[in-house]
Amino acid sequence: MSGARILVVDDEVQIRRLLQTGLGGYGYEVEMAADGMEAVQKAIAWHPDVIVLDLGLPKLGGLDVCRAVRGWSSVPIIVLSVRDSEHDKITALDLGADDYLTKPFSLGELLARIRVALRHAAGTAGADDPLLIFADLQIDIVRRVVQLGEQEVHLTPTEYDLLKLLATHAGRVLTHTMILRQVWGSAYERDTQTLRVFIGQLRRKLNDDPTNPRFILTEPGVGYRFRQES
Amino acid sequence: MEPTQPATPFWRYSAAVLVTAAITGGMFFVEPPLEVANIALFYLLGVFIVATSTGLGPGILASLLSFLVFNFFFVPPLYTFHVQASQDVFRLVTFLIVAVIASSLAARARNEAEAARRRATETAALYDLSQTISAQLDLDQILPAIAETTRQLLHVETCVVLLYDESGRLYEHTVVGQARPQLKTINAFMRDGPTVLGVLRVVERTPGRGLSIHERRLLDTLAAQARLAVDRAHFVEQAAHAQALAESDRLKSALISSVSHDLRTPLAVIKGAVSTLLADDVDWDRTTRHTLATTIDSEADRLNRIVGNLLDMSRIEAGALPVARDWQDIAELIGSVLQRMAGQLDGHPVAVEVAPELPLVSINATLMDQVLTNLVENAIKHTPPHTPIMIMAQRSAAGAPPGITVAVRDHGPGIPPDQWLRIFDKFYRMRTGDNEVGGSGLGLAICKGIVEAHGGQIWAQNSPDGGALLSFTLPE
Repeated sequence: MSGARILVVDDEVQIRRLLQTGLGGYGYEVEMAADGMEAVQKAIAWHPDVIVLDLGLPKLGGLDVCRAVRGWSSVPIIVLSVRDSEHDKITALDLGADDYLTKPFSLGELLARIRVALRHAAGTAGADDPLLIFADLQIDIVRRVVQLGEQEVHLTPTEYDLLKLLATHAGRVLTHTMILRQVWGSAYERDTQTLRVFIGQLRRKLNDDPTNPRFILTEPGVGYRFRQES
Repeated sequence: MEPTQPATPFWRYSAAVLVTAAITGGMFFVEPPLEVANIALFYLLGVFIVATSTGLGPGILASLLSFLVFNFFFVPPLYTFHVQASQDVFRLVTFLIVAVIASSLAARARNEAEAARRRATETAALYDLSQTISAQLDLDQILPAIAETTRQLLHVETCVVLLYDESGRLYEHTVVGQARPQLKTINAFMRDGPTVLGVLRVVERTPGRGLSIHERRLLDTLAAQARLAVDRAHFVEQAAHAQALAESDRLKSALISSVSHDLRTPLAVIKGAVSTLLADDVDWDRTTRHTLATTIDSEADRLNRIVGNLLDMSRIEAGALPVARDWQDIAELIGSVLQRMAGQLDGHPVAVEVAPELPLVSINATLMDQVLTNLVENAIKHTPPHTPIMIMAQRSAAGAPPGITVAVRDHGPGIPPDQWLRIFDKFYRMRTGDNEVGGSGLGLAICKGIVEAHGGQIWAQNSPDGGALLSFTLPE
């Protein structure tokens, strides 16, 4: 997927320079924007494949950029945030951003997130795959059958829906609100307690130790991420 | 302190009638019958008693009744109000005049005695109040005392103290007795020069009856007392605020000196490694370049942690920790911390033991993540490489604070008991022998701040089989 076009939006010139060099070195085509207005203009004019978006921006904030871009485009957006702005991060994800990274981050992490985002955008990430395979875990979407090794795992319909949602978004973070809305309906989107109970049950059935998970990773305070084979 | 309530007018006037009737009845039983002049003396005595014990009005009534009854029963011609002898006319008129004068004198004496008693009660009450005020600094104690005294001294049912809040609006600080909206209120302002600090308000006893001049003066005196108390409380508050500012200034400079050292160390390492890499007179081999880059990477992480700790500490100090909480599974929180710290563990194997069926706890995930991170970092820092670290979570044992107890146990040298409390102080670095272990001295202080903000407790001890054991509780 090298050669994809990445729009980097950050008001810090050092970060822009670093990402241009780093991402450019991996063969991506990189364009820069230093503020929110410029970001929206370039998103329209340049048609990037991925936007890497800092939240603290002059002129137009990162959240507004996210909202504006989502108005017409489903281009993957990866949000960069500092540790103190947990709330903005969740807001951005609920607004339709695809993933986030907390500054400071390593280039390796960013590249991994970009790859996942590109795969999902291209529709090659298994959303339409009839059979999802993660190590010894198999999810047969057509027959609604889940197998761990040779054993079939018996899931309730809700547990299955939850697993399917996470697995079809493997590698991407899903916020509590997003999961609750999709599996239980928007009337339940605040009911994180229920979600945790179901995640606990699902992990038990998948033999997934919450203190050292193989499949369902916890993003504290944000949501869950299904582990993507790399 | 409560003075005996004066008898109602009906009973006071009844007393006048009864005393007169009793004397009249008594006269018929005296054998031999008394002389008319002596009988008059008895009636005078009665008038005097009535006036002394019940006041001027009943005294005058007793005078008039005695005059009539005396005339009717004892002055010839008997059983008429007619008087024949001019001597008797003179006697009767003199009797009436003496009786009235006597009752007014007696009543005045009575009033003065009563006033003196009331003043004594008031003085005692005001003295008690001033004792309370000088012994207390807390307005929540003083103002109710003032309101209660006001209520008793003015015989009113309701007393309210109003103060100004920060936005300059009056609010009811203290209410003693029940609010009676249908009755009019009487206000005394707590004045400090031209500014009004508050209002002492009473509700009138009966509709349309305000306070006497004396009571009004008393109310103003009480308002002045309240003003002194409010003034002083403000002053104390300001002094405390100033002290807190000075304290926080001192902390800040301690912080700056401590931190500038901690920040400089990783910066120095990074600068050194980078300048080595940049040197163009040596062609570093691949391994060396990789080693240098790894050093830069880990020092940058360290710098990031120090900055994070500083931010947390300043938030805890400012009381500005985010309060957003959510139900969390402590096992998955431990999992996410370990996952993130995987590269930092320095060869320490980490074992996790979470009791089955632990309930969810309502906590802020980001902050609790920080607590666990700091505790594990602390264990890494104070123990030799490759020694195991254990994280345990279970329901609190009997005797410990209720809820869930999370503990991090290491296999290092342990913590001397005299430092079990102090390691949670800001800038405290544990000493073992001559060594001082590096670090900002903030990590555990942050843990304490965060755990306490969640209503939990944190403490240190040594594990029975060696190594430090740091535990904290989270209320269910």
